[in-house]
Amino acid sequence: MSDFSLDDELVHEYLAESREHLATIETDLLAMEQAGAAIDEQLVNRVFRAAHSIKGGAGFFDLSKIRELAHKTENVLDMIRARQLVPLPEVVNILLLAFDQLSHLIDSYSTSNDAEISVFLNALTNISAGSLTSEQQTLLEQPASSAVPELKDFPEVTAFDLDQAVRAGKRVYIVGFDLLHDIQRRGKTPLAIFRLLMNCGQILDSAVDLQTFGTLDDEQVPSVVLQVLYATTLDAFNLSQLMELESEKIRIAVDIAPAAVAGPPAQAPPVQAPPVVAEKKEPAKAPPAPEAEAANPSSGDGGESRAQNGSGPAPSEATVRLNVSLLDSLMSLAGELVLSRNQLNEALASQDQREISASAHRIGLVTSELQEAVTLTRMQPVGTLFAKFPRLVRDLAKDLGKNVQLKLEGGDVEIDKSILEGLSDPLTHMVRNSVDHGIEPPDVRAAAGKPSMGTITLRASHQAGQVVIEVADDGKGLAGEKIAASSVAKGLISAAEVQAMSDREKMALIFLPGVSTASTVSNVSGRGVGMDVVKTNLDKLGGKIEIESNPGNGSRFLIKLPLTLAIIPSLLVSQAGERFAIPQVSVGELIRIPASKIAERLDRAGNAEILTLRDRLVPLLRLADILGEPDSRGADRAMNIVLLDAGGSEYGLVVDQLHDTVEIVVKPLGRHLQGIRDYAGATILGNGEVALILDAVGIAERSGSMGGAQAASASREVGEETRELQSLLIFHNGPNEPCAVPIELVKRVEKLDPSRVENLGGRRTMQYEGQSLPLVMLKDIAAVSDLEMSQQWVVIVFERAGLPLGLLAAEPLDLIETAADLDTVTLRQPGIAGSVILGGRTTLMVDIFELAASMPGREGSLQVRAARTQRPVTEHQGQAAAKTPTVLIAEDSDFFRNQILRLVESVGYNAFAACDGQAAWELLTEHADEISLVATDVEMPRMDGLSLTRKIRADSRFSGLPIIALSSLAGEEEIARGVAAGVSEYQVKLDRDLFLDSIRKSLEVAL
Amino acid sequence: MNDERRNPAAGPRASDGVSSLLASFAVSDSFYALDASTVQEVIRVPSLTRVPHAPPSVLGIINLRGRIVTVLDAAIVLGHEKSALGRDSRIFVVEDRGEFIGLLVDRVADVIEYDPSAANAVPANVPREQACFYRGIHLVNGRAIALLNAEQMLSAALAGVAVQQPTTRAAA
Repeated sequence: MSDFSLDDELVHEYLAESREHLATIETDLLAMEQAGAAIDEQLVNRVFRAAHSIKGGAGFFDLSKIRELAHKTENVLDMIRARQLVPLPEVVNILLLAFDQLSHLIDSYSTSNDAEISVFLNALTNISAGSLTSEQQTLLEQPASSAVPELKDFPEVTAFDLDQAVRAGKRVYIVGFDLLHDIQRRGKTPLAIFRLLMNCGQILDSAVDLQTFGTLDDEQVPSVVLQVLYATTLDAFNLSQLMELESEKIRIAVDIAPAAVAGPPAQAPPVQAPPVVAEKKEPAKAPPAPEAEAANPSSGDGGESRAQNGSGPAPSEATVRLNVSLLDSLMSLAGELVLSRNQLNEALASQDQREISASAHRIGLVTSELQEAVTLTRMQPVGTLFAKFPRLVRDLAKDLGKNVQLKLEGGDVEIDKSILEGLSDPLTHMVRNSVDHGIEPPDVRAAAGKPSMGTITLRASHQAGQVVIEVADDGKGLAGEKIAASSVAKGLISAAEVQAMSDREKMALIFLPGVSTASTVSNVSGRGVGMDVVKTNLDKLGGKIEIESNPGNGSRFLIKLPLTLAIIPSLLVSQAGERFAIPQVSVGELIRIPASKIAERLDRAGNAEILTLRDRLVPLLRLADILGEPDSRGADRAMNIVLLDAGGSEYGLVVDQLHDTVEIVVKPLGRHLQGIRDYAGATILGNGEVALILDAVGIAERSGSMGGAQAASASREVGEETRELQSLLIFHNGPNEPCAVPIELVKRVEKLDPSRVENLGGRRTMQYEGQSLPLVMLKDIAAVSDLEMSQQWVVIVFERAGLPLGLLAAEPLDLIETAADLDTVTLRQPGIAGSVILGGRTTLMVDIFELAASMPGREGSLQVRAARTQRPVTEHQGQAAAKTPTVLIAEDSDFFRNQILRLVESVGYNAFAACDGQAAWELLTEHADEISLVATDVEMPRMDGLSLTRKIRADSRFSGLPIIALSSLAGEEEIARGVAAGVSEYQVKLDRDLFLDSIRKSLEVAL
Repeated sequence: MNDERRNPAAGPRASDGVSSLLASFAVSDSFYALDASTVQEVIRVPSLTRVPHAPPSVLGIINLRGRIVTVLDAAIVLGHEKSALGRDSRIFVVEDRGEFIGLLVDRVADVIEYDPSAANAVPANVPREQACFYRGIHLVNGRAIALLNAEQMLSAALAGVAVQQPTTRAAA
């Protein structure tokens, strides 16, 4: 009969439904356990019904093992419902295991009949038997057919089952459905029939009567009879009406006395029930508490599964559960699309150009919306993932003898399905870790004055435009020392390296492969596989992980996931007619200051604007400035301010206009725009236009001082590249040819009358401080336009190798602080290092060193430049090399590297340059004898400056080698870290004089 | 010229009847071509959103049927003066490593059949940084058309990081 496959679709419907039931059972069982003896009948009924419908279907499809197991769980649940059994943890445990096994059986239903499930069956039988009277136990062992011979077709049903049904005041029927005539021909499905039956009673068992099968030779259409052993309070007439069955297809197996039905409702069934025998017509038994299903048909299975919509985990990867309203909106969008297409066809037929373009426009709009709605179908609440953790925590805690409660927050936060799936493993691992390593055993907790119940919190939220998932526990926290010791013991890092590490860095070692803090290996964790895998998995999702820990008080892991595909409510603002979206999470409040009040509310500190807001001072930034545009807003207009929260620090963003708050779909920017931190992505607005999404933290960073250091340090913790600010002097060459030089190279700028320029011996000079200042024009060396007489000329004075040099340029001048990338390709030419976009304009970055080298009489240095690109140092410089000190420069930014290189060379040192710590280390070991000083950036990829320093300090060959750390950030903490790592001196990047001074001093000391 | 071996057009495809096609376009006064199979579509310039602080070659971003597409100014990438948007301006949408990228060109020219015999090596005076994205110079009716390697070209536009090798330089 197992070959008898009615319909694959039916099987799948059954399986899907069973999975749905199983998905909710776990939570309910845990709640039952929590409630203990104070039974919530609703809850028990729900689980009971779930087990029940699984059993019913299994009988139908002849999945005997599934049926058997479901049946046994049902028995236990029935007893709990009847308050014959208290759902103690041991009981619930066995039920959980049994339902787990059911899940497995259902997942591999085709082979489930061969599965070995006796362990589960015995365990379940033991529970029920343990709480039964001996009489009931006897009944349990007797097949129902011993009492009612007609029931021989149902060998699985025991006399106990019958007894239970009768005690509940039910009649027991054998209902014979003809699958072809009664079900298929009437347009019904077997599942629908089962549902109907279960709403009004209890299916004890079901079987297909093999005897009734015809053969192909039969002339008559064969009938396939499904026999259902059914217990219900309905009488035979009502039952046949309900099932639309002829009354002869319903046979009564066990009846009750009509008198009893009318009897008064009573408490529990009497213990001294008469033995259940079919012939018995007068059992003096109380009528039942009404069956929940019968009394409450509306809460039947149909309603139940709808209520679960969207929160049940997807049964398999191939399907997604959708909110009906979303489906509706998809449908209506599809409808609109069809409509627009028809309009387009008509317009095409009539060649109505206006109508054609109008339709095309409509189709465009609808398509965008449709696309957005389809994207939404991928969004799933985090709660579906969280749902598995209560069980996990409970089981683990039990195994480990700990008391742990789990708190779930923010389950409604939605993320992309694929991210959610990828998150499952890492999160599981971290929760396991928290239970195993984090939370202490109860006695330890008590000794530490903590409540014996440990708490683990799983929290999801939107923060700063990201989805943040937090795993926090109030356990013992991470011991940086212990992790470090373990890492050293495993040979992952050296003890010397550890010494120079901050506690936070030590904690981060946990992400190295093979590190574990558990001193003993448990079957849960501590085998040294783990956090590195977590990190790798999160990396794949584009996520970041941060650790915060307070030894003794617990630890907090923050997983930050990218916005990719996330839907976020955002505020739309506009600046100079362009729209931008700001994620609502970073918006504090909106402030409008009338023109008349601006003077009163606004203050200035130097160049910084400050807003007075209810006794607070809030720094203000102008979006126009951030975008590098002129501020079009007149002082006479009201001011619109968006108060933003940039990861701890607060500032106001001045914008032209405020618009609505809308839900936007975040789309990633292409790789050409990846590095720009001001944006968190882009989105498509209702009108089809693209708007950039502003990143509150990124903007604060660009603005420099404010919140910048904080944000920068935060991003460093998660290993992101920090962008360094540089101050540039902007000037013009041709009227439309903006150029820039780093301000620290400039000595002074003076207005100049062109007539003061003297042309002597083919060289331009001017009188300057009593000397003859050589002058150079950009066009002398680069292919740029000429300075025009109509412009206001200036001379920018530089000093190179102690000699002054003037560059002729034109106004307007400006000073800009920027982190923009130098493009060293597109516009590169002699004299021009490359270009940056400043204020929306491509600006040429002038290479002063090349300019100077091009001056007549300085050809020597020009040669140097040409050689520098490829040739190794030793070939080039002859005997001078031995005496001239050589500086090794490690710096990842091309711009800074070149600047430092030139600076060092300009004062006559030799130099090697490397683009990161690793390359620097290789150069250093290769040229160990030559290098007499190392100047290194702190933030670098592959190996950062501090690691490089530690590595150098740990090597005896380089004892006494001066190391100067260069950084654009030099807070006290940075300096302390630098000193701890073994840095000789800490210099702020490109403070030219100080830097050269410090090189000089360091070399003197060293030599 | 480094990539001549990788040029699919020079391979057997040209001879087995399925000769490859080149989509050519004009930037300033020069003609260029991309393998037509890499070009997804050619569109008019739609409403373009500027991206402040973007690399110089990036013109802005557009909505291409719900996708955000970065549009590069082919003129800047190829070392010309910045393009001025005109009536004939078009965007070549190119797929490169899973991403759609737009290239603004001044004018769309013919689709031409690739003829290996008409291909010449890249002249020596092409700037080094750019040479890597030329596959060769193709002569059509006496006019030189530079066949471009889209992948290399788009990478080079990544703000000056792609072409420059990590430096370990030395000097006196």
